[in-house]
Amino acid sequence: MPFSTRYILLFASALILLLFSFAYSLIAWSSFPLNLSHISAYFFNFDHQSIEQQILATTRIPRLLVAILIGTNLAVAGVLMQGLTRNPLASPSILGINAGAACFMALASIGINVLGEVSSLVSASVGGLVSGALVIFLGGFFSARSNPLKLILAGIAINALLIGITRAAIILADDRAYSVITWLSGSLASMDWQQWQLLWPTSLVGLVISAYVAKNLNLLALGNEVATSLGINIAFTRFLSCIAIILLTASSVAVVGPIGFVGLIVPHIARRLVSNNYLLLLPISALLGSCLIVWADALSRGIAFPAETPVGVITALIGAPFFVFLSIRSKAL
Amino acid sequence: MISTDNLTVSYGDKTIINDLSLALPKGKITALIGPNGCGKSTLLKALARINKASAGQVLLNDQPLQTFADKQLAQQLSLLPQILTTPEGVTVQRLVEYGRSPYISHWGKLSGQDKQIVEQAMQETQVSEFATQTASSLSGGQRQRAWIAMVLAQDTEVVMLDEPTTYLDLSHQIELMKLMQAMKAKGKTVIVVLHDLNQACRYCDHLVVMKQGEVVAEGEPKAVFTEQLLQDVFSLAAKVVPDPIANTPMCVAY
Amino acid sequence: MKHLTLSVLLLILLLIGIASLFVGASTLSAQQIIDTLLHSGEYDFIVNQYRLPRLLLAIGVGAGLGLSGSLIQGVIRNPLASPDLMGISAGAGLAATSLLVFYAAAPVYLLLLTALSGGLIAAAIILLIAYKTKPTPIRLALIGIAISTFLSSGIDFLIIVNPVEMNTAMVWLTGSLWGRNWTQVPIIWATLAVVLPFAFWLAWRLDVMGLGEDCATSLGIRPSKLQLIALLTAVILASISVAVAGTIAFIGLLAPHLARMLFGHDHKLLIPASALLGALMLIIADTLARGLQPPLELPAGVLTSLIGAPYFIFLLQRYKAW
Repeated sequence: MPFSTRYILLFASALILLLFSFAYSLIAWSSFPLNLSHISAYFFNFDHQSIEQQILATTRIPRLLVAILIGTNLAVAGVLMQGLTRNPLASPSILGINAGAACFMALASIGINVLGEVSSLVSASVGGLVSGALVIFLGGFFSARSNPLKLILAGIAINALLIGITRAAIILADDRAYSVITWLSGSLASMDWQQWQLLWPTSLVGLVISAYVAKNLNLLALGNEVATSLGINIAFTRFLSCIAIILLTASSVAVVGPIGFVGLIVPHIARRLVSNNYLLLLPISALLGSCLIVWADALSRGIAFPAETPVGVITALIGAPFFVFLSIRSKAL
Repeated sequence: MISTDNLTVSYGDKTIINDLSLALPKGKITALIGPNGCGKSTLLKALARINKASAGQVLLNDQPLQTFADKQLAQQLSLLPQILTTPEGVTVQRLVEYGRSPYISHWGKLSGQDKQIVEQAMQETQVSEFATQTASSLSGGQRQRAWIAMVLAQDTEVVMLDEPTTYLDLSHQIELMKLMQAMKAKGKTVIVVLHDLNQACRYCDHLVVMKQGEVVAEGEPKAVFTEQLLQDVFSLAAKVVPDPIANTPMCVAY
Repeated sequence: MKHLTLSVLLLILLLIGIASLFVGASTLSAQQIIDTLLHSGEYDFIVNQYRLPRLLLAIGVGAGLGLSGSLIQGVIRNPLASPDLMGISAGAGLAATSLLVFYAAAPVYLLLLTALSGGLIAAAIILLIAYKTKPTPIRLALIGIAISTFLSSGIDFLIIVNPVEMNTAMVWLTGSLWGRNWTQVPIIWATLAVVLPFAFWLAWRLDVMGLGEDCATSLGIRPSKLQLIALLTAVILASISVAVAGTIAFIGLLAPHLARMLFGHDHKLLIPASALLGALMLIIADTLARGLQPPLELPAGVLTSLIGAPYFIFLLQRYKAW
């Protein structure tokens, strides 16, 4: 394992960047003036009377934690998908998993319970699973000569379809257009501890599974025949990876709505930094993903302060040009 | 008739044809020959104004090519490219009608005269029987004839063909040569890029031999086509003997 | 034969158009509708001020989008090209939304101009990228979709951070004919009237372009000039359609495909047929949008993407030239 100084340095700087983001995100752009001393006071000397500390405790801290975890989830899911499909453009939003999860949740929330009375998390998971499977099937992933672009275009079509259904369903039920747009764009605006409680257990399971399959993915990258001869159960590895992707993505969508492009951008940057070793790729992507979301969230509060911009809009504005760049440059297509 | 005046053609910073002055005889069949990459296709496209001259000019009846309007030029000069994209779902009749493009009104309506010319072109090339079939459903030889019919329908004084025999079997190649001679009989000037040297000698009146963007030799086949030339231009050891049928020069490589 | 099909389509358009006058929150009898159409009266608002202009708008906008799509596909020779997949609609939408957000009382002509310049800029960007990178058809579609995504997130952004002006922009943007009235009718129809002769002028030349650029040149058609005129016409049509009805997805992609299935590859038939089919699709979508659950209105754009996305997938399955 090449745990050279370079990687340790890299890891350390990513951590520092993250830490700085945390501090900044906690105090930036608030209707109440907050500063660093409030943060230290919150940790070391909590005072129930202080409004500033109450703001930190009830909104800022949970929001930050959710942002970190969402970023980790989406980035890790993106790494897994790109590894599984060997397609540089694969990511949860592009292969329709985000949209599927959002669609099923929207249907559930207006009373069309395809699955009966279940929690939003379960409907999001099932939705993500169904749409992801549909895209992979229609995109000809299992056909003999699969074309990477076909997969992507199938994803785009399914996305359009699902977003259409979602909008139609919600408008038909009740025309709260504003909240729909906000939620469909993915927003961290109303996070509290309850959402955090919903998010962390599934995320943890998903992340543990991802860590477990990382070594197998390294071998899978050598090609199916080589991997098999090295004793890897390909089907099982794929199955576990799919489970992890669904868990990570669905829990994120269930809590904050679909946030696009994180799972696309982050793995690419991470791959530039640490090459293709999944044992390094996963943690670095997780770190970068959290950084990206934390920063995007801070930006989403600041860009049109005091109005909140959904964080998904910010990631799309950053991500779409990146996607153009990738589709021009990528040789694998 | 058609001539070039210090013509230079380049792609980007790569010069394909350098400072070429050439005059092609009117009412004759001229063949451009030379090894692969010698610039004969490039020259042909420059003569048809598809490739822009980076210096010098091409003259048609002593008038610079760039002074012609698009349609005006297309009424005097036609080119059949080497690689032909036969569009899907287009009938032979339609394909030949496209040849009338330089003459028709704004709305693409064919006059009675246009229709007559189209009919005649199809007869001359013997594709009338396929008129209602789609061009893409024809065999290679039939399709090539349909394309030639389109060029005939364009009814220009100068007809240029870029390697028209490439995908044809031998009998269709001969058929095509005869079509060229028929065009000449109608007073047209034909300029053709050919790979088969013996066919060029037998069916053409004038040879332009090119190597690396320059004209090495030019003139009647009997005067130009020598063993020395084949050695110099094609690095080909060959014997030139008289063609047993047409008595034109014929090369036998060894 | 093909002209017969065209006439049948026209007849269907007429019938569905008449039928659409009956659909809506209040149920009217045929007698009532005819009376109102002839000498207004009690139901003047519902029929003459509401359903009739909407019908005319649906025909105009649908025809505009269909026409735009057929021109773009004719030039770019890419089965996946269409105004919405290439970011033109989103560009026009973003420009117009910005205008409405910052200047809600903008006069109609300004809205049109803004939408048009937005569409032109978006088209210029994608063409520049295409020119520089010479992408395969599929890759071009992908780039267009990404640019579309980018521009529509811009629209979302504007709408969300300016909630006060939101209603105007929102009504306008979702791709709906709701809330439109007679003011928009002459705009789209005048555009069609101006552009249609150009489209027919292009028809023969687009056919000839199918023979390849060299062939077209030698037949007296300058490819670059022709492409420019055709694309400009297409962008104008798409942008004005967006300015009138917001972004209505997939009609620009679907109508030309259906037209090609029914009428083959001859642009002289393809162009009117695409316009006709586009109009037909939008009337059906708008009538459904109004009639599914009255008095609630669905955006017609949502319905067209519900129909369009599966077709797009079908197209992908059939597309061979990967």
